[in-house]
Amino acid sequence: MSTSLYGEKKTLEAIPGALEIVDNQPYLVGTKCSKCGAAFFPPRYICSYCLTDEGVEKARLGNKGTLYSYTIIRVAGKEFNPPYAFGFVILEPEKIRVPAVLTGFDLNQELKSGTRMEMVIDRLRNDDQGNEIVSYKFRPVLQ
Amino acid sequence: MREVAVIGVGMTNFGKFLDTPIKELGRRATWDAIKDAGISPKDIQIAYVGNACLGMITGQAMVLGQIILKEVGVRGIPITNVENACASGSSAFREAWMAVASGMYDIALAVGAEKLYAGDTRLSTRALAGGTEVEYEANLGLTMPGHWALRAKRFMEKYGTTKEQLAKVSVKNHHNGCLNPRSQYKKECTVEDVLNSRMIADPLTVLSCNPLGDGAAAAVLVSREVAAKFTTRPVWVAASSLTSGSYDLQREISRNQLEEVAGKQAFEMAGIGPEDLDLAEVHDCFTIAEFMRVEGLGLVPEGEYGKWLDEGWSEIGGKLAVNPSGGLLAKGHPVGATGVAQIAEVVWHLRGEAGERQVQGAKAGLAHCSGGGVASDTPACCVHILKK
Repeated sequence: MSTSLYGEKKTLEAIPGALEIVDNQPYLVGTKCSKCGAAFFPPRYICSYCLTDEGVEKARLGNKGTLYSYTIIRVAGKEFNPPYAFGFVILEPEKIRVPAVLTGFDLNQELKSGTRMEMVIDRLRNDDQGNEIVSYKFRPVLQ
Repeated sequence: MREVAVIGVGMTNFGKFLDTPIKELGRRATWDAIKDAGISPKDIQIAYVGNACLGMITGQAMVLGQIILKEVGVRGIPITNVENACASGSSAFREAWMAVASGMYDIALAVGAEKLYAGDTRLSTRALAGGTEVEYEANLGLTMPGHWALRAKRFMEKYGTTKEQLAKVSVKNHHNGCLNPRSQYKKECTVEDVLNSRMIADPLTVLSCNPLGDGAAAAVLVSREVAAKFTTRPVWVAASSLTSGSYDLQREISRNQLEEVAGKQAFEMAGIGPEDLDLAEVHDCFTIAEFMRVEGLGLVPEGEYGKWLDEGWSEIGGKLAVNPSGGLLAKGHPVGATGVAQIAEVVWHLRGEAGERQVQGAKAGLAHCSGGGVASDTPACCVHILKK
Protein backbone atom coordinates (compact mmCIF):
# COMPACT_ATOMS: atom_id res chain seq x y z
CA MET A 1 0.00 0.00 0.00
CA SER A 2 1.31 3.47 -0.83
CA THR A 3 0.19 7.01 -0.16
CA SER A 4 0.14 10.02 -2.44
CA LEU A 5 -1.35 13.48 -2.68
CA TYR A 6 -4.68 11.79 -3.34
CA GLY A 7 -4.56 9.75 -0.15
CA GLU A 8 -4.12 6.09 0.50
CA LYS A 9 -4.04 3.77 -2.54
CA LYS A 10 -5.56 0.39 -2.07
CA THR A 11 -5.33 -2.89 -3.92
CA LEU A 12 -8.82 -4.10 -4.78
CA GLU A 13 -10.16 -7.21 -6.49
CA ALA A 14 -11.97 -6.75 -9.84
CA ILE A 15 -14.55 -9.30 -8.66
CA PRO A 16 -14.60 -9.24 -4.85
CA GLY A 17 -14.22 -12.69 -3.33
CA ALA A 18 -13.40 -14.40 -6.63
CA LEU A 19 -9.91 -15.49 -5.63
CA GLU A 20 -8.32 -17.72 -3.03
CA ILE A 21 -4.61 -18.31 -2.56
CA VAL A 22 -3.51 -21.69 -1.19
CA ASP A 23 0.18 -22.63 -0.93
CA ASN A 24 1.03 -19.65 -3.14
CA GLN A 25 -1.30 -21.00 -5.84
CA PRO A 26 -4.28 -18.83 -6.92
CA TYR A 27 -7.68 -20.46 -7.38
CA LEU A 28 -11.08 -19.20 -8.48
CA VAL A 29 -13.87 -19.40 -5.94
CA GLY A 30 -17.18 -20.54 -7.40
CA THR A 31 -19.95 -22.91 -6.38
CA LYS A 32 -20.66 -26.57 -7.04
CA CYS A 33 -23.88 -28.56 -6.99
CA SER A 34 -23.37 -31.80 -5.08
CA LYS A 35 -26.39 -33.35 -6.84
CA CYS A 36 -25.35 -33.01 -10.52
CA GLY A 37 -21.72 -31.91 -10.14
CA ALA A 38 -22.17 -28.67 -12.13
CA ALA A 39 -19.77 -25.85 -11.27
CA PHE A 40 -20.45 -22.14 -11.58
CA PHE A 41 -18.24 -19.10 -11.83
CA PRO A 42 -19.17 -16.48 -10.78
CA PRO A 43 -20.93 -18.41 -8.01
CA ARG A 44 -24.61 -19.26 -8.51
CA TYR A 45 -26.31 -20.35 -5.30
CA ILE A 46 -29.21 -22.09 -7.03
CA CYS A 47 -28.10 -24.81 -9.44
CA SER A 48 -29.16 -23.83 -12.97
CA TYR A 49 -29.81 -27.49 -13.83
CA CYS A 50 -31.29 -29.01 -10.65
CA LEU A 51 -33.09 -25.77 -9.74
CA THR A 52 -32.37 -26.29 -6.08
CA ASP A 53 -30.21 -24.56 -3.47
CA GLU A 54 -29.76 -27.79 -1.53
CA GLY A 55 -26.19 -29.03 -1.71
CA VAL A 56 -24.97 -26.00 -3.66
CA GLU A 57 -21.84 -24.89 -1.86
CA LYS A 58 -18.90 -22.55 -2.29
CA ALA A 59 -16.04 -24.42 -3.91
CA ARG A 60 -12.43 -23.90 -4.92
CA LEU A 61 -12.26 -24.36 -8.69
CA GLY A 62 -9.33 -25.35 -10.87
CA ASN A 63 -6.57 -22.94 -11.88
CA LYS A 64 -5.69 -24.54 -15.19
CA GLY A 65 -7.53 -25.05 -18.43
CA THR A 66 -7.47 -24.90 -22.21
CA LEU A 67 -7.92 -21.93 -24.53
CA TYR A 68 -11.35 -21.84 -26.23
CA SER A 69 -11.26 -18.58 -28.22
CA TYR A 70 -9.36 -15.31 -27.92
CA THR A 71 -8.96 -11.91 -29.54
CA ILE A 72 -6.70 -8.88 -29.28
CA ILE A 73 -8.81 -5.99 -27.99
CA ARG A 74 -7.33 -2.79 -29.47
CA VAL A 75 -10.04 -0.31 -28.47
CA ALA A 76 -11.15 -0.20 -24.83
CA GLY A 77 -11.23 2.18 -21.89
CA LYS A 78 -7.74 3.63 -21.47
CA GLU A 79 -7.59 2.31 -17.89
CA PHE A 80 -7.27 -1.18 -19.45
CA ASN A 81 -4.29 0.01 -21.49
CA PRO A 82 -5.13 -1.62 -24.85
CA PRO A 83 -4.05 -3.57 -26.83
CA TYR A 84 -4.45 -6.69 -24.71
CA ALA A 85 -5.42 -10.29 -25.32
CA PHE A 86 -8.78 -11.45 -24.00
CA GLY A 87 -10.13 -14.96 -24.19
CA PHE A 88 -12.33 -17.71 -22.89
CA VAL A 89 -10.62 -20.55 -21.04
CA ILE A 90 -12.31 -23.88 -20.34
CA LEU A 91 -11.50 -24.48 -16.71
CA GLU A 92 -10.37 -27.94 -15.65
CA PRO A 93 -11.67 -30.20 -14.29
CA GLU A 94 -14.98 -28.30 -14.19
CA LYS A 95 -15.26 -27.82 -18.00
CA ILE A 96 -16.86 -24.39 -17.64
CA ARG A 97 -15.97 -21.32 -19.67
CA VAL A 98 -14.45 -18.31 -17.92
CA PRO A 99 -13.51 -14.97 -19.49
CA ALA A 100 -10.08 -13.52 -18.75
CA VAL A 101 -7.32 -11.23 -19.91
CA LEU A 102 -4.54 -13.41 -21.32
CA THR A 103 -0.94 -12.62 -20.50
CA GLY A 104 2.58 -14.04 -20.67
CA PHE A 105 2.97 -14.19 -24.46
CA ASP A 106 3.87 -11.87 -27.33
CA LEU A 107 0.67 -10.44 -28.89
CA ASN A 108 2.14 -11.06 -32.35
CA GLN A 109 2.39 -14.76 -31.52
CA GLU A 110 -0.66 -16.84 -32.46
CA LEU A 111 -2.13 -19.02 -29.71
CA LYS A 112 -4.01 -22.08 -30.91
CA SER A 113 -7.35 -23.23 -29.50
CA GLY A 114 -6.67 -25.94 -26.98
CA THR A 115 -3.44 -24.33 -25.73
CA ARG A 116 -2.84 -25.28 -22.07
CA MET A 117 -3.33 -22.24 -19.84
CA GLU A 118 -2.68 -21.51 -16.16
CA MET A 119 -4.05 -18.85 -13.84
CA VAL A 120 -2.05 -15.98 -12.41
CA ILE A 121 -3.01 -12.94 -10.36
CA ASP A 122 -1.99 -9.65 -11.89
CA ARG A 123 -2.79 -5.95 -12.00
CA LEU A 124 -5.73 -5.35 -14.37
CA ARG A 125 -6.09 -1.57 -14.26
CA ASN A 126 -6.24 1.42 -11.91
CA ASP A 127 -9.61 2.86 -10.97
CA ASP A 128 -10.52 6.58 -11.02
CA GLN A 129 -9.22 7.01 -7.45
CA GLY A 130 -5.85 5.48 -8.39
CA ASN A 131 -6.51 2.21 -6.57
CA GLU A 132 -4.90 -0.82 -8.15
CA ILE A 133 -7.48 -3.35 -9.39
CA VAL A 134 -6.18 -6.91 -9.55
CA SER A 135 -7.74 -9.94 -11.17
CA TYR A 136 -7.09 -13.47 -12.28
CA LYS A 137 -5.58 -13.76 -15.76
CA PHE A 138 -4.46 -16.78 -17.75
CA ARG A 139 -1.10 -17.41 -19.44
CA PRO A 140 0.10 -20.22 -21.68
CA VAL A 141 1.78 -23.05 -19.75
CA LEU A 142 5.47 -23.16 -20.71
CA GLN A 143 6.27 -26.42 -22.51
CA MET B 1 -55.83 -14.25 -29.69
CA ARG B 2 -56.90 -11.54 -32.14
CA GLU B 3 -55.25 -10.60 -35.41
CA VAL B 4 -53.18 -7.41 -35.20
CA ALA B 5 -52.33 -5.04 -38.06
CA VAL B 6 -49.72 -2.31 -38.38
CA ILE B 7 -51.45 0.67 -40.03
CA GLY B 8 -48.85 3.40 -39.51
CA VAL B 9 -45.07 3.71 -39.17
CA GLY B 10 -42.61 6.57 -38.80
CA MET B 11 -38.87 6.93 -38.50
CA THR B 12 -36.37 9.79 -38.24
CA ASN B 13 -33.13 9.78 -40.16
CA PHE B 14 -30.46 7.93 -38.17
CA GLY B 15 -27.25 9.84 -37.47
CA LYS B 16 -25.33 11.93 -34.98
CA PHE B 17 -27.66 14.62 -33.63
CA LEU B 18 -25.81 15.94 -30.60
CA ASP B 19 -27.92 19.11 -30.35
CA THR B 20 -31.33 17.49 -30.92
CA PRO B 21 -33.26 16.62 -27.75
CA ILE B 22 -34.59 13.05 -27.49
CA LYS B 23 -38.16 14.34 -27.25
CA GLU B 24 -37.79 15.94 -30.65
CA LEU B 25 -36.54 12.73 -32.28
CA GLY B 26 -39.31 10.77 -30.56
CA ARG B 27 -41.95 13.34 -31.46
CA ARG B 28 -41.05 13.37 -35.17
CA ALA B 29 -41.16 9.58 -35.52
CA THR B 30 -44.36 9.25 -33.48
CA TRP B 31 -46.16 12.06 -35.30
CA ASP B 32 -45.20 10.51 -38.65
CA ALA B 33 -46.63 7.15 -37.53
CA ILE B 34 -49.86 8.78 -36.32
CA LYS B 35 -50.28 10.68 -39.60
CA ASP B 36 -49.37 7.57 -41.61
CA ALA B 37 -52.09 5.64 -39.75
CA GLY B 38 -54.59 8.45 -40.28
CA ILE B 39 -55.62 8.43 -36.62
CA SER B 40 -55.75 11.16 -33.96
CA PRO B 41 -53.46 11.10 -30.90
CA LYS B 42 -56.60 10.75 -28.78
CA ASP B 43 -57.39 7.42 -30.47
CA ILE B 44 -54.31 5.79 -28.93
CA GLN B 45 -55.28 3.67 -25.92
CA ILE B 46 -51.93 2.34 -24.71
CA ALA B 47 -48.25 2.94 -25.50
CA TYR B 48 -44.91 1.19 -25.00
CA VAL B 49 -41.65 3.08 -25.42
CA GLY B 50 -38.26 1.38 -25.82
CA ASN B 51 -34.95 2.92 -24.85
CA ALA B 52 -31.69 1.52 -23.52
CA CYS B 53 -28.90 4.07 -23.10
CA LEU B 54 -30.38 7.44 -22.21
CA GLY B 55 -29.91 7.00 -18.48
CA MET B 56 -26.16 6.89 -19.06
CA ILE B 57 -25.95 9.38 -21.94
CA THR B 58 -28.12 12.24 -20.64
CA GLY B 59 -29.26 10.97 -17.24
CA GLN B 60 -32.87 10.52 -18.43
CA ALA B 61 -33.16 7.06 -16.88
CA MET B 62 -36.91 7.19 -16.27
CA VAL B 63 -40.30 8.15 -17.81
CA LEU B 64 -38.91 8.84 -21.30
CA GLY B 65 -42.11 7.54 -22.91
CA GLN B 66 -44.28 10.03 -21.06
CA ILE B 67 -41.87 12.86 -21.96
CA ILE B 68 -41.96 12.06 -25.68
CA LEU B 69 -45.67 11.35 -25.87
CA LYS B 70 -46.74 14.60 -24.18
CA GLU B 71 -45.16 16.33 -27.21
CA VAL B 72 -47.69 14.65 -29.51
CA GLY B 73 -50.68 15.09 -27.22
CA VAL B 74 -50.82 11.49 -26.04
CA ARG B 75 -51.69 11.64 -22.32
CA GLY B 76 -53.91 10.10 -19.72
CA ILE B 77 -53.37 6.56 -21.06
CA PRO B 78 -51.17 3.72 -19.78
CA ILE B 79 -47.57 4.27 -20.93
CA THR B 80 -44.88 1.72 -20.12
CA ASN B 81 -41.15 2.18 -20.67
CA VAL B 82 -39.38 -0.91 -21.99
CA GLU B 83 -35.68 -1.85 -21.78
CA ASN B 84 -34.12 -5.02 -23.27
CA ALA B 85 -30.73 -3.72 -24.50
CA CYS B 86 -30.62 -3.77 -28.34
CA ALA B 87 -34.02 -5.51 -28.36
CA SER B 88 -35.72 -2.67 -26.42
CA GLY B 89 -37.63 -1.34 -29.45
CA SER B 90 -38.72 -4.77 -30.66
CA SER B 91 -39.76 -5.69 -27.12
CA ALA B 92 -41.86 -2.49 -26.94
CA PHE B 93 -43.47 -3.46 -30.27
CA ARG B 94 -44.20 -6.95 -28.90
CA GLU B 95 -45.88 -5.50 -25.79
CA ALA B 96 -48.08 -3.31 -28.01
CA TRP B 97 -48.92 -6.36 -30.13
CA MET B 98 -49.89 -8.34 -27.00
CA ALA B 99 -52.10 -5.49 -25.78
CA VAL B 100 -54.15 -5.61 -28.99
CA ALA B 101 -53.93 -9.39 -29.58
CA SER B 102 -55.24 -10.02 -26.06
CA GLY B 103 -58.39 -8.04 -26.78
CA MET B 104 -57.77 -5.53 -23.99
CA TYR B 105 -57.01 -2.61 -26.34
CA ASP B 106 -57.86 -1.81 -29.96
CA ILE B 107 -55.22 0.82 -30.76
CA ALA B 108 -51.66 0.67 -29.39
CA LEU B 109 -48.50 2.63 -30.07
CA ALA B 110 -44.91 1.34 -30.00
CA VAL B 111 -41.99 3.78 -30.00
CA GLY B 112 -38.23 3.26 -29.91
CA ALA B 113 -36.01 6.28 -29.26
CA GLU B 114 -32.33 6.66 -28.52
CA LYS B 115 -29.44 9.04 -28.17
CA LEU B 116 -26.19 7.13 -28.10
CA TYR B 117 -23.80 9.64 -29.65
CA ALA B 118 -22.42 11.89 -26.92
CA GLY B 119 -19.29 13.36 -28.49
CA ASP B 120 -17.51 11.18 -25.94
CA THR B 121 -16.86 7.64 -27.19
CA ARG B 122 -15.92 6.50 -23.70
CA LEU B 123 -19.34 7.48 -22.33
CA SER B 124 -21.16 5.76 -25.23
CA THR B 125 -19.01 2.66 -24.74
CA ARG B 126 -19.82 2.60 -21.03
CA ALA B 127 -23.52 2.92 -21.84
CA LEU B 128 -23.30 -0.04 -24.24
CA ALA B 129 -21.40 -2.11 -21.67
CA GLY B 130 -24.66 -1.90 -19.70
CA GLY B 131 -25.85 -4.71 -21.98
CA THR B 132 -23.38 -7.05 -20.29
CA GLU B 133 -23.05 -8.11 -16.64
CA VAL B 134 -21.21 -4.98 -15.59
CA GLU B 135 -19.83 -6.41 -12.35
CA TYR B 136 -18.35 -9.39 -14.22
CA GLU B 137 -17.28 -9.42 -17.89
CA ALA B 138 -17.12 -5.65 -18.44
CA ASN B 139 -15.16 -5.29 -15.19
CA LEU B 140 -12.58 -7.79 -16.47
CA GLY B 141 -11.99 -5.88 -19.73
CA LEU B 142 -14.39 -7.58 -22.17
CA THR B 143 -15.88 -5.00 -24.55
CA MET B 144 -18.92 -5.58 -26.78
CA PRO B 145 -16.77 -5.82 -29.95
CA GLY B 146 -14.50 -8.16 -27.97
CA HIS B 147 -17.49 -10.34 -27.15
CA TRP B 148 -18.33 -10.68 -30.84
CA ALA B 149 -14.69 -11.13 -31.86
CA LEU B 150 -14.52 -14.20 -29.60
CA ARG B 151 -17.62 -15.60 -31.29
CA ALA B 152 -16.19 -14.73 -34.72
CA LYS B 153 -12.92 -16.53 -34.06
CA ARG B 154 -14.77 -19.63 -32.90
CA PHE B 155 -17.21 -19.46 -35.84
CA MET B 156 -14.44 -19.05 -38.43
CA GLU B 157 -12.53 -21.97 -36.94
CA LYS B 158 -15.64 -24.19 -36.98
CA TYR B 159 -17.03 -23.35 -40.44
CA GLY B 160 -13.91 -22.23 -42.33
CA THR B 161 -15.38 -18.77 -42.88
CA THR B 162 -12.84 -16.24 -44.20
CA LYS B 163 -12.22 -12.62 -43.22
CA GLU B 164 -13.19 -11.65 -46.77
CA GLN B 165 -16.57 -13.36 -46.38
CA LEU B 166 -17.19 -11.53 -43.10
CA ALA B 167 -16.30 -8.24 -44.82
CA LYS B 168 -18.85 -8.89 -47.57
CA VAL B 169 -21.66 -8.35 -45.02
CA SER B 170 -20.46 -4.79 -44.52
CA VAL B 171 -19.97 -4.22 -48.27
CA LYS B 172 -23.55 -5.38 -48.99
CA ASN B 173 -25.12 -3.40 -46.16
CA HIS B 174 -23.21 -0.21 -47.00
CA HIS B 175 -24.43 -0.57 -50.58
CA ASN B 176 -28.02 -0.92 -49.35
CA GLY B 177 -27.52 2.07 -47.03
CA CYS B 178 -26.73 4.22 -50.08
CA LEU B 179 -30.27 3.47 -51.32
CA ASN B 180 -31.93 4.46 -48.03
CA PRO B 181 -32.46 8.20 -47.48
CA ARG B 182 -32.74 7.66 -43.69
CA SER B 183 -29.41 5.80 -43.42
CA GLN B 184 -26.60 7.14 -41.21
CA TYR B 185 -23.99 6.07 -43.77
CA LYS B 186 -24.52 6.51 -47.50
CA LYS B 187 -21.10 5.47 -48.74
CA GLU B 188 -20.04 2.35 -50.61
CA CYS B 189 -17.10 0.32 -49.29
CA THR B 190 -15.06 -2.56 -50.67
CA VAL B 191 -13.81 -5.76 -49.03
CA GLU B 192 -10.33 -4.14 -48.94
CA ASP B 193 -11.74 -1.02 -47.24
CA VAL B 194 -13.33 -3.18 -44.53
CA LEU B 195 -10.21 -5.31 -43.98
CA ASN B 196 -7.85 -2.31 -43.98
CA SER B 197 -9.91 -0.11 -41.67
CA ARG B 198 -8.77 0.28 -38.06
CA MET B 199 -8.73 -2.98 -36.08
CA ILE B 200 -11.06 -2.90 -33.06
CA ALA B 201 -10.86 -6.53 -31.87
CA ASP B 202 -9.37 -9.10 -34.23
CA PRO B 203 -10.96 -9.99 -36.73
CA LEU B 204 -13.43 -7.07 -36.40
CA THR B 205 -12.34 -3.75 -37.91
CA VAL B 206 -14.17 -0.45 -37.49
CA LEU B 207 -16.13 -1.07 -40.74
CA SER B 208 -17.19 -4.44 -39.29
CA CYS B 209 -18.92 -2.68 -36.36
CA ASN B 210 -22.10 -0.60 -36.27
CA PRO B 211 -21.63 3.16 -35.74
CA LEU B 212 -22.78 5.25 -32.75
CA GLY B 213 -25.90 7.22 -33.58
CA ASP B 214 -29.25 8.67 -32.61
CA GLY B 215 -32.80 8.32 -33.91
CA ALA B 216 -36.36 7.18 -33.28
CA ALA B 217 -39.10 5.08 -34.88
CA ALA B 218 -42.76 4.41 -34.13
CA ALA B 219 -45.59 2.09 -35.18
CA VAL B 220 -49.38 2.05 -34.69
CA LEU B 221 -50.90 -1.40 -34.09
CA VAL B 222 -54.65 -2.06 -34.26
CA SER B 223 -57.29 -4.79 -34.28
CA ARG B 224 -58.80 -6.08 -37.55
CA GLU B 225 -61.98 -4.03 -37.03
CA VAL B 226 -60.07 -0.80 -36.50
CA ALA B 227 -57.72 -1.56 -39.43
CA ALA B 228 -60.72 -1.84 -41.76
CA LYS B 229 -61.80 1.69 -40.78
CA PHE B 230 -58.47 3.37 -41.42
CA THR B 231 -56.72 1.52 -44.25
CA THR B 232 -57.15 -0.71 -47.26
CA ARG B 233 -53.60 -2.03 -47.03
CA PRO B 234 -52.88 -3.28 -43.50
CA VAL B 235 -49.70 -5.19 -42.73
CA TRP B 236 -50.39 -8.14 -40.41
CA VAL B 237 -48.25 -9.22 -37.47
CA ALA B 238 -48.07 -12.91 -38.34
CA ALA B 239 -45.77 -13.82 -35.45
CA SER B 240 -44.09 -12.39 -32.37
CA SER B 241 -41.53 -14.26 -30.31
CA LEU B 242 -39.26 -13.21 -27.43
CA THR B 243 -36.78 -15.46 -25.68
CA SER B 244 -33.90 -15.18 -23.22
CA GLY B 245 -30.63 -17.08 -22.89
CA SER B 246 -29.69 -20.37 -21.24
CA TYR B 247 -26.45 -18.99 -19.69
CA ASP B 248 -25.04 -22.50 -19.95
CA LEU B 249 -21.29 -22.23 -19.28
CA GLN B 250 -20.60 -25.26 -21.50
CA ARG B 251 -22.59 -24.30 -24.61
CA GLU B 252 -20.91 -23.75 -28.00
CA ILE B 253 -20.69 -19.98 -28.59
CA SER B 254 -20.51 -20.17 -32.41
CA ARG B 255 -24.28 -20.84 -32.36
CA ASN B 256 -26.94 -18.72 -30.64
CA GLN B 257 -29.40 -21.33 -29.43
CA LEU B 258 -31.98 -18.77 -28.36
CA GLU B 259 -32.21 -17.53 -31.94
CA GLU B 260 -32.96 -21.08 -33.08
CA VAL B 261 -35.76 -21.23 -30.50
CA ALA B 262 -37.20 -17.79 -31.33
CA GLY B 263 -36.99 -18.42 -35.08
CA LYS B 264 -38.75 -21.78 -34.79
CA GLN B 265 -41.50 -20.31 -32.59
CA ALA B 266 -42.04 -17.42 -35.00
CA PHE B 267 -42.29 -19.58 -38.13
CA GLU B 268 -44.67 -22.00 -36.37
CA MET B 269 -46.87 -19.12 -35.30
CA ALA B 270 -46.84 -17.50 -38.75
CA GLY B 271 -47.57 -20.81 -40.47
CA ILE B 272 -44.90 -20.11 -43.07
CA GLY B 273 -41.27 -21.14 -43.56
CA PRO B 274 -38.04 -19.23 -44.20
CA GLU B 275 -38.48 -19.94 -47.95
CA ASP B 276 -41.65 -17.80 -47.90
CA LEU B 277 -39.79 -14.65 -46.77
CA ASP B 278 -38.88 -11.90 -49.23
CA LEU B 279 -36.74 -9.87 -46.84
CA ALA B 280 -35.20 -10.09 -43.38
CA GLU B 281 -33.98 -7.24 -41.21
CA VAL B 282 -31.59 -8.95 -38.80
CA HIS B 283 -29.45 -7.55 -36.02
CA ASP B 284 -26.08 -7.05 -37.76
CA CYS B 285 -24.37 -5.15 -34.93
CA PHE B 286 -21.14 -6.70 -36.26
CA THR B 287 -20.46 -8.50 -39.56
CA ILE B 288 -20.22 -11.86 -37.75
CA ALA B 289 -23.60 -11.19 -36.14
CA GLU B 290 -25.38 -11.29 -39.53
CA PHE B 291 -23.83 -14.74 -40.14
CA MET B 292 -24.91 -16.07 -36.75
CA ARG B 293 -28.43 -14.57 -36.96
CA VAL B 294 -29.41 -15.77 -40.44
CA GLU B 295 -28.09 -19.25 -39.69
CA GLY B 296 -29.47 -19.33 -36.13
CA LEU B 297 -32.93 -18.21 -37.23
CA GLY B 298 -32.93 -20.94 -39.88
CA LEU B 299 -33.02 -18.50 -42.84
CA VAL B 300 -29.82 -20.02 -44.26
CA PRO B 301 -28.50 -23.57 -43.67
CA GLU B 302 -25.79 -23.89 -40.98
CA GLY B 303 -22.33 -22.96 -42.24
CA GLU B 304 -23.54 -21.75 -45.67
CA TYR B 305 -23.87 -17.99 -45.31
CA GLY B 306 -20.33 -17.40 -46.61
CA LYS B 307 -21.38 -19.05 -49.87
CA TRP B 308 -24.59 -16.99 -49.91
CA LEU B 309 -22.51 -13.80 -49.75
CA ASP B 310 -20.09 -15.05 -52.42
CA GLU B 311 -23.09 -15.73 -54.69
CA GLY B 312 -24.93 -12.50 -53.82
CA TRP B 313 -28.00 -14.43 -52.61
CA SER B 314 -28.68 -12.05 -49.70
CA GLU B 315 -28.55 -8.91 -51.83
CA ILE B 316 -31.70 -7.04 -52.88
CA GLY B 317 -32.97 -9.11 -55.84
CA GLY B 318 -31.33 -12.30 -54.49
CA LYS B 319 -32.98 -15.35 -52.87
CA LEU B 320 -33.63 -13.44 -49.63
CA ALA B 321 -32.76 -9.75 -49.20
CA VAL B 322 -30.97 -9.50 -45.84
CA ASN B 323 -30.90 -6.00 -44.34
CA PRO B 324 -32.11 -4.10 -47.43
CA SER B 325 -32.31 -0.98 -45.18
CA GLY B 326 -28.53 -1.01 -44.78
CA GLY B 327 -28.84 -2.82 -41.46
CA LEU B 328 -27.21 -1.66 -38.26
CA LEU B 329 -23.84 -1.48 -40.02
CA ALA B 330 -24.88 1.31 -42.44
CA LYS B 331 -28.35 2.54 -41.52
CA GLY B 332 -27.11 2.85 -37.94
CA HIS B 333 -28.04 1.50 -34.52
CA PRO B 334 -29.58 3.95 -32.06
CA VAL B 335 -30.02 1.00 -29.72
CA GLY B 336 -33.56 1.48 -28.39
CA ALA B 337 -34.90 2.67 -31.77
CA THR B 338 -33.59 -0.17 -33.93
CA GLY B 339 -36.33 -2.77 -33.33
CA VAL B 340 -39.15 -0.41 -34.30
CA ALA B 341 -37.17 0.95 -37.26
CA GLN B 342 -36.86 -2.63 -38.56
CA ILE B 343 -40.66 -2.96 -38.37
CA ALA B 344 -41.03 0.29 -40.35
CA GLU B 345 -38.62 -1.03 -43.00
CA VAL B 346 -40.53 -4.30 -43.43
CA VAL B 347 -43.85 -2.40 -43.60
CA TRP B 348 -42.52 -0.10 -46.33
CA HIS B 349 -41.38 -3.09 -48.41
CA LEU B 350 -44.71 -4.90 -48.00
CA ARG B 351 -46.55 -1.74 -49.10
CA GLY B 352 -44.18 -1.19 -52.04
CA GLU B 353 -42.96 2.13 -50.59
CA ALA B 354 -39.26 1.35 -50.10
CA GLY B 355 -38.06 3.39 -53.07
CA GLU B 356 -34.76 2.47 -54.70
CA ARG B 357 -34.14 -0.41 -52.31
CA GLN B 358 -37.61 -1.98 -52.78
CA VAL B 359 -37.67 -5.78 -52.74
CA GLN B 360 -40.01 -6.35 -55.66
CA GLY B 361 -43.31 -8.04 -54.89
CA ALA B 362 -42.48 -8.48 -51.19
CA LYS B 363 -45.27 -10.33 -49.35
CA ALA B 364 -43.59 -11.42 -46.10
CA GLY B 365 -40.68 -10.09 -44.05
CA LEU B 366 -38.93 -10.85 -40.77
CA ALA B 367 -37.49 -8.46 -38.19
CA HIS B 368 -34.99 -9.70 -35.61
CA CYS B 369 -33.22 -8.01 -32.71
CA SER B 370 -31.06 -9.58 -30.04
CA GLY B 371 -29.78 -7.63 -27.08
CA GLY B 372 -26.80 -7.72 -24.74
CA GLY B 373 -24.27 -10.36 -23.73
CA VAL B 374 -24.46 -12.22 -20.41
CA ALA B 375 -22.41 -15.27 -19.36
CA SER B 376 -21.27 -15.41 -23.04
CA ASP B 377 -24.92 -15.90 -24.00
CA THR B 378 -27.56 -13.48 -25.31
CA PRO B 379 -30.12 -12.24 -22.78
CA ALA B 380 -32.88 -11.15 -25.20
CA CYS B 381 -33.94 -12.20 -28.70
CA CYS B 382 -37.07 -10.85 -30.36
CA VAL B 383 -38.47 -11.95 -33.74
CA HIS B 384 -41.47 -10.62 -35.65
CA ILE B 385 -42.88 -11.82 -38.98
CA LEU B 386 -45.05 -9.40 -40.94
CA LYS B 387 -47.30 -10.35 -43.86
CA LYS B 388 -49.34 -8.46 -46.42
